[in-house]
Amino acid sequence: MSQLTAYIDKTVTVITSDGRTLIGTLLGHDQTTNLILQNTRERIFQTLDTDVENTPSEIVEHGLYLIRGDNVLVCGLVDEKMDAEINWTKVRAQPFGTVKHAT
Amino acid sequence: MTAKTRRHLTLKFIAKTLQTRASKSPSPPLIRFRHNLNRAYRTSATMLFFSFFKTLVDHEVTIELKNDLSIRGTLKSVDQFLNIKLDEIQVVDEVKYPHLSAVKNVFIRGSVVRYVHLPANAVDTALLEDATRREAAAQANKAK
Repeated sequence: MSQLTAYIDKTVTVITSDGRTLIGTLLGHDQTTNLILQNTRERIFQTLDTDVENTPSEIVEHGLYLIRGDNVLVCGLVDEKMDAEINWTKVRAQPFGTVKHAT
Repeated sequence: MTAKTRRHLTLKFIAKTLQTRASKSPSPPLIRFRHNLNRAYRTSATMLFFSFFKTLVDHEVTIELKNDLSIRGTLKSVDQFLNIKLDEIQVVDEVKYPHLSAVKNVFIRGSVVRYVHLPANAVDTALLEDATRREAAAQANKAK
């Protein structure tokens, strides 16, 4: 039943309700989708109208993170090979909207 | 006609419709669906949709989230909270939202789903309609 067990000890991307994108190794979870991430990094993308050559997108190290389930929108399994092929500092993105009624 | 007789007649009509339906032999997936739904009647409304989503496993769906992100993929599993797992995903506007470019398999928390776009040919709307009405009738009975 618990569908996240398949992702344990693998690298995951988590999108949170405040629009952040966190990447880390999933150490654990429970049935309310609380997540424990190790070696967490946050990707802060420049907006679509930015010139990424001069202002690259950032990656911020956060370390060990516990994310409360309410704030989790998506937890995606990262394909390491595909991920390594992307130069994330050059990627621009439109910021996600926030979610107010997530419960 | 009093409200009570009207309700009685409606229920009789639904029961009859279901009976006629049951007498025709439906295709195997539908039998499984009805079996799940019949079990769901005795529990709660969410269980009905849980069963419903289970019949859609391996179909292509598009999930729109409450932050306006839309993800298309093959439905792989669903649980009691209507959390959804998709495989071979594609974000609908990938130029705007490249965040999941290196992700093929996602877990989506049920509480943040706004819409699930379903393949029309995979859903028996009449059957689902009957099921939801029976559910509502059962709940109304319980409340009395």
